[in-house]
Amino acid sequence: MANTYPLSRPIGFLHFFNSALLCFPVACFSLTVLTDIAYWRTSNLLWLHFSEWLLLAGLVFGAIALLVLLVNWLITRARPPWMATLCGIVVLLLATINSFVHTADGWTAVVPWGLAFSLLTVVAMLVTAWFGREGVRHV
Amino acid sequence: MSEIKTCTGVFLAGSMLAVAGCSEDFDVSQQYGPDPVLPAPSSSLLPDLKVAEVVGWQEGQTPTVPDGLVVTAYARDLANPRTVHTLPNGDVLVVQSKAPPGKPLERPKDIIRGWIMAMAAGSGGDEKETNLITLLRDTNRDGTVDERSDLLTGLTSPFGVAWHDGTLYVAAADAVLAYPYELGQTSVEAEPAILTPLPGGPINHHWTKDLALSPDGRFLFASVGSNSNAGERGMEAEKGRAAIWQIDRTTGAAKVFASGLRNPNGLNFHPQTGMLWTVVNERDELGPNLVPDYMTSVKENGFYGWPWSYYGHHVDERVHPPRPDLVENAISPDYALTSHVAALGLAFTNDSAMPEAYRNGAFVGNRGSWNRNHFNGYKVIYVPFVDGMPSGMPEDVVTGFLDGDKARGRPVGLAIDGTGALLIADDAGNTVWRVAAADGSVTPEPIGTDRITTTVTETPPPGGGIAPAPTETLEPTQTDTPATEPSTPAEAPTEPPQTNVAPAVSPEDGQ
Repeated sequence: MANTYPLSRPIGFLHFFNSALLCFPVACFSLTVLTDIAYWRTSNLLWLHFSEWLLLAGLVFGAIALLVLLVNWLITRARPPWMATLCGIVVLLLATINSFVHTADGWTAVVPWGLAFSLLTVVAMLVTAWFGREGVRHV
Repeated sequence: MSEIKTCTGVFLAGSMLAVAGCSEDFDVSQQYGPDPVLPAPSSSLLPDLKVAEVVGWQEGQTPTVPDGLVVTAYARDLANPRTVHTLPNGDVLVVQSKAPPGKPLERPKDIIRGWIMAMAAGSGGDEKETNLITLLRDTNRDGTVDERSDLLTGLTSPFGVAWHDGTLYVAAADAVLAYPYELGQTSVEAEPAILTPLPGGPINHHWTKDLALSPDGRFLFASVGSNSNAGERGMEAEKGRAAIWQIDRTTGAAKVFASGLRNPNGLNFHPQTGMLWTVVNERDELGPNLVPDYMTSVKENGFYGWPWSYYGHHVDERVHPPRPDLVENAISPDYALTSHVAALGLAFTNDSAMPEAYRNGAFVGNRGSWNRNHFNGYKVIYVPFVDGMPSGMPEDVVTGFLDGDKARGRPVGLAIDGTGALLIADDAGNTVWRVAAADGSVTPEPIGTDRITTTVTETPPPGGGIAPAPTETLEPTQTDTPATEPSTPAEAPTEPPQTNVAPAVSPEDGQ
């Protein structure tokens, strides 16, 4: 049962679970760009708080997804697509740094570095998706 | 980056990320006095952080004082003593309290902040009931307490107290309460009247409300700290806050006396000049050497910058939208006390029984830093005064609150006791310390913390003090007009208008 296509269909539940988990960071980190822009345009701190919680939620689910991927690898010996995995880790690191940038009290939490990191995180997600496209459905 | 060498190390461990900004080279003493050196704000990913774990005082341990002074424990086994206040008959009130619970969680950061503050307060272990006021009586004036009784219990996080004319005023976290109380009483049965509601919960970030009585006995002055570090809860949350309120003692009518003071405490009138003084905790998270806490005389209608600026025109970029119109009018405070020392207590020493070297100035209680890699504060300093203004470098007087990286105690409120010695409320060490002249000198008679000069030297302040400028609205909740004589309107609208910098609002309106 040598799997040349890593993480392909037969793996079943874990695979599905992981795909579901990965939706969260994708959605959260993308929305962070929008909430950051909203704060930049309005100075309304509500949007900064949205960004902070979105980053946290994305990180928590992203970390669980990474853990599941690792368990999957250990159980099934199905090597994950390494470039995509590596990029995924970069996404999480960027989002972690971004979380800390967003802890500043007010404007400097977003302008300019928070928003820059939010955009960079989305770019890193696109790169991850690119590397993950071949033979696998998820990022 | 001239004189400050800032090294930044980044450690990545799992999802934990720590950034250490070190600036050991910075000479802290440059930040004492009227013109402190203010480095450029530094933005590290994580705030500089070093919290002293509270270990308490072992048997026989005391703080350290220089030659010529002796230190003794005036009262032990208290429950978070925050302030000490001497009544005109020499009785000492110890106000014990802790932060009111139920602060809403708004940001992921608030969780972590909660842990840090709990550690700094040493909330582990003792479950002793706090939020009470204890009366200590030294009947024979020998510097030891002979009688001790709990005067008031079950209060809402009290901090400031004042007494005048048969009434004890207590500043709880949400209102100034008035209790009928004659000097000498050791218990209070009567229910309090609410003299004036103050901005309270549910956030009540800087909750300590200090009190001082004006030298003519007519007004109370109450400090109301900000609801945030630098306005990050929005300006709606700051109505009536970061300010000192002036309250008519008989009617409760109130107005904001001065604003832009982030977290003012230690309200005291200077015995010679009659000026109101306060110590103020300035903002965090701009680096280990910003922003210096300070002591300052408080001008009526003065605006001191918070949150938009510090030390006059140094703009805080975190506060948006910027308000150059307000910054333009921001007053720079009188005397910086270096950064993050958490100055909370102030006591003038004029006419005390302290040695001559300490008899014209002020003691300042510095509870100690958390937002620095190196501890600052954790001691009581003496600032010499000349002609009613601070002059020269301060001297460390009471030290030894730190034991390596651990805290035995943390000094907060200060007062001169009925014998003329210094009292220090040590909230983490649950002790009140007494620092006296080693030769045992005492004052001929007790002097209360709030000194009343019976002969009113001046006519009441312009506009009767309490009257708002024509363009402003007086706080709507107060009891009608002051019972005192109608006042003439202030001569000119104050600049910046109170409605901009600290719109007063009652707790009911704010919730």
